[in-house]
Amino acid sequence: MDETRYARAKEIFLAACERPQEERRPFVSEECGSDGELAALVLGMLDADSSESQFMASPVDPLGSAAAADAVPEVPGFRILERIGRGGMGEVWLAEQTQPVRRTVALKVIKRGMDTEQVVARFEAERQALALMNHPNVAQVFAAGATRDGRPFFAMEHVQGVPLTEHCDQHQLSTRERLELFREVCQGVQHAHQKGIIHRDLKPSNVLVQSEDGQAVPKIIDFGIAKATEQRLTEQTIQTELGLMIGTPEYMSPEQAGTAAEDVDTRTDVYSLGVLLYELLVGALPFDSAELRAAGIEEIRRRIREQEPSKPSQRISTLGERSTETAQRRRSDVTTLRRQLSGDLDWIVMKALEKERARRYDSPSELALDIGRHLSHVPVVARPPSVIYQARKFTRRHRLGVGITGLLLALLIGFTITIYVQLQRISVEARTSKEVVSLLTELILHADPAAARGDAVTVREILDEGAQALEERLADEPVVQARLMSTMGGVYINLGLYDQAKPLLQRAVELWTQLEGESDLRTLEARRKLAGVYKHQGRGQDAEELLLVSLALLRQEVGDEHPATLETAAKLVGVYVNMGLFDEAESLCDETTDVAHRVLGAAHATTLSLRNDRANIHLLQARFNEAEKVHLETLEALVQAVGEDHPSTLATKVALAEAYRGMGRRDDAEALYQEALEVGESVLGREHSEFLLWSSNLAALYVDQGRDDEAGPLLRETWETSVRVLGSDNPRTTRAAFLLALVLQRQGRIDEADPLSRQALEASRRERGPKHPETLACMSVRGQVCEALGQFDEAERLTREVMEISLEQHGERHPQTLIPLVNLARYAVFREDYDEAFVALERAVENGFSMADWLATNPDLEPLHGPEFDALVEQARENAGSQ
Amino acid sequence: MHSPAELTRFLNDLRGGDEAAGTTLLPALVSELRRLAERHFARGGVGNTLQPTALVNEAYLRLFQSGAPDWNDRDHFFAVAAKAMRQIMIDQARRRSSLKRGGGHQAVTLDEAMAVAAGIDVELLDLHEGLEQLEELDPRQGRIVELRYFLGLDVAEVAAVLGTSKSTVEREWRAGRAWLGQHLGKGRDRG
Repeated sequence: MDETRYARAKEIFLAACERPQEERRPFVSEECGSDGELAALVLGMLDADSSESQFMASPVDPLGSAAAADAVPEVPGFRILERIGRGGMGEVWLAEQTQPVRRTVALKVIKRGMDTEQVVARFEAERQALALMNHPNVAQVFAAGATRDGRPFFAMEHVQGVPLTEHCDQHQLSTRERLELFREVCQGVQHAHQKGIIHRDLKPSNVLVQSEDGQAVPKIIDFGIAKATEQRLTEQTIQTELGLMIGTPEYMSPEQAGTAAEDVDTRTDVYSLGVLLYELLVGALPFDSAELRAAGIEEIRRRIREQEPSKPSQRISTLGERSTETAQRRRSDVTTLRRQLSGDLDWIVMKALEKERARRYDSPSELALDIGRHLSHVPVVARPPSVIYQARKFTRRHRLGVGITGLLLALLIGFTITIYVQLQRISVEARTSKEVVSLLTELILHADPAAARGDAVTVREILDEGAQALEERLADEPVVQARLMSTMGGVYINLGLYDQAKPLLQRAVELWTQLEGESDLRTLEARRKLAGVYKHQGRGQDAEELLLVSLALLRQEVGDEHPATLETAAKLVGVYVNMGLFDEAESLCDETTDVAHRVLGAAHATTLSLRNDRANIHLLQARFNEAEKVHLETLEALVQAVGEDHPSTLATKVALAEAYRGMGRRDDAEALYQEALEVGESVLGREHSEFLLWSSNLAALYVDQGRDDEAGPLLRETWETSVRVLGSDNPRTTRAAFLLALVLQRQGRIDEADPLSRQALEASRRERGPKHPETLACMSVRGQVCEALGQFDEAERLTREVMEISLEQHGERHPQTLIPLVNLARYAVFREDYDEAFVALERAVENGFSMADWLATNPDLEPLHGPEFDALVEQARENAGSQ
Repeated sequence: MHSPAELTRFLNDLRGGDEAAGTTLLPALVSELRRLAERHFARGGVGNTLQPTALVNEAYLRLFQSGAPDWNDRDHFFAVAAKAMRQIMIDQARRRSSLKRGGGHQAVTLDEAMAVAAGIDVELLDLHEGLEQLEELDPRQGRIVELRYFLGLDVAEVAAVLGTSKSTVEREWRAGRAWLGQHLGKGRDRG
């Protein structure tokens, strides 16, 4: 090609353009004659010129292609290498971290204009939590802070990969392969949720697939950034972001799309995961992207909040030609793909995409579990409406049976109240902890970088290394060493990392023992902490042993009346209560309380904790009158010592109300709750964990009385706040959760009650232990929900467990033993094992079961009717008369 | 930094056909454009597609704050500015591309914009090379494409800058764009 040839080509091209479309080809052939090369060139030009071509239609955008250069950020401890990205929020730089270890990181610097003090403060708040994340599917956050010129930055693992959706299409992954990758993503998000981090901006470009040892590993990036920069869907973000396709509304949950500053919890990520799953399966988004973006902001909001997307299997059918492409990318054909999607996968996706978050999966792991069920051909939890409808029908038929479980619950819930003073102590510990953490960080930062290893160091590892540094570096300062280890053990306890706390505290005990002897107060304090670890780990006997030895030593060294002796004894009482060893708890509590009262005074934390445990012992054994007496005494002492408005006074009022509730004095109970809540709102605020606890207790009273319409909203609010403020595993959250599940179940909202009751039970088992009264209450509720779902095996298993634990704790004749026993009879009837059913009923009646009318009229028990059954009913009637 | 008087002299030289003047002016212009773009970016103007013309106008006003030369000079200035703009963008694209080892994504994406930018880079570099070839085949057409595409001037503005008719610019632009299109495989069928 030379200038003349091009001039000729241009001439023919321009002349051809003058002619009508259909004449152009013949014209070019004629003009070019035998010069095929020239003809091809001109035809190619005409082709490129066609009106459909968008090529060079608009000039290049200097900002869109990153012509502008921001100043290279200066970050202490990092050497900036190259800018590797830029977006609406800031820039990403490839950098080399020099301390504490040398490694390449992705440094995200938030752009100027967003670097308000608030953002920096939020960064600071997020940083510790972010650094706790350590999961193969989450890009590790190494550090966060501010650059020299005050812009916030995150240093995170440098992930080299492609967006999840792109990876799947590039490798033509089958539906099953996609689901398997997606489950890993869920696990990563779940991990973050457990550390209290919500992503808030999950989308394919934030889930990258990286190849590790030849394996494709999804990695979630940008955790915490959305929160720190507080991105919301506003007119401005839509305008600035849609232009560059940032902050895509397609993945936004309905609650995020709202105008009100609605709280966003972990379930917002469940929704976004649902959209991601939809896209992975269908190859299209639930709401068409172009259509959505063309709509105004109000319309976008409305659609996200109101419009039901089509089910994946339906969507596949409406994609036209694209559906063939979608199927091919999944190594499938349209018919097969549609069949694969319809049923389980439709329901799983739609459940994740529920507008109302309470109807979604409660957590990413539940979503992953359900996908797992689908993959292993086990029935999934997500159900089409017809099944729910059937479950409801079922509940109605068995209402009487369900009712009796409710009664059991009322008996079970004697809630224990923890006195506020203890909480204050914990916050002192937390303050000390922070100082220790910074001290440790210093210690490690000054360590030899060459000694640090690996490329993925987490703050946990920093702590762990810190522990090691303590051991090595402070060897010649054993006193400092021992003190730090003891405190650091406390840090781990605060973080809930009991396994990590243990060796440190063990070592601290060892050191103090060497230094000062085994009966030194500091040795014994470390022991007390270690006992706390055991208590949390459910190793009651180990805790008991440790505390018993400490107690003996303390008594010998400093005497019965020393504050440390009393505190240790009080701890031991708590361990006994937890283990359900009420006799031991009671005698130790009484003997210690007398001394504490005299030596420390009625308003001292140890005394209060003892008095409270005393009342709890009564409450848990349904000895409400005794509980009342203790609480009234404590109340009097407290009002004198700290006044009416003090949180401890309020907590005691609620505890007293609990006793009244148990005694059936509901009006007295309600008045006290109302009073405590009213004052509590102004003294503590509505988000305080005590306030939340008391709200649940009031709601429980409503539940007892069948006032579900009042209980429902109160519980919903309490539970949602509690999840946000305390996290979903907190016992206080669990209390609100299982009560709410009960109300929902009674209202026939089984699909909502199901995940809630399951989660509550799991959390309570973990946090409270398998035999704690509240765990039993959770089991009862869960059993009831399972029955309503038609899962009789599970319902029966749970009921049996409740019965056996109660038998062990309270004996044969206790109502908590009798009621599950009667329910077991019902389940035996369902299994058509009438002999077993009869034996169970017989055992219940012999031990004092007295609800004769219920027995006589329960339709479930009809198959047992006959002369022998009538005799049982008669005996139950006699039981009632004799009580 | 060059004084306005110096810059004006360069422009006069340029009008007189002195190609070297363009090269002298270029560095001053490039740095000014960069600075402006950065400021614009920092203000959060990312979302609104920035017309390069606006940027160049601003650069022009700043470079010739006092005793701004007449409008004709501004037209000549544009001819240089288009080159400056092209150079900035190609440099950036090259730099980013060189980071993409092994041809995969450099996927520490803060968001999708970067994935988009990665695609733009490849196209931009290809286009730049194509345009270099076109400039050899037809220098005037090359300049027209440069002014239209890298500076966003409309047909009338390009005609004014080059001192030619609008219809010529229109024809040359159409042919140039078509040639580049076929050269880069941008036909209707090949997408």
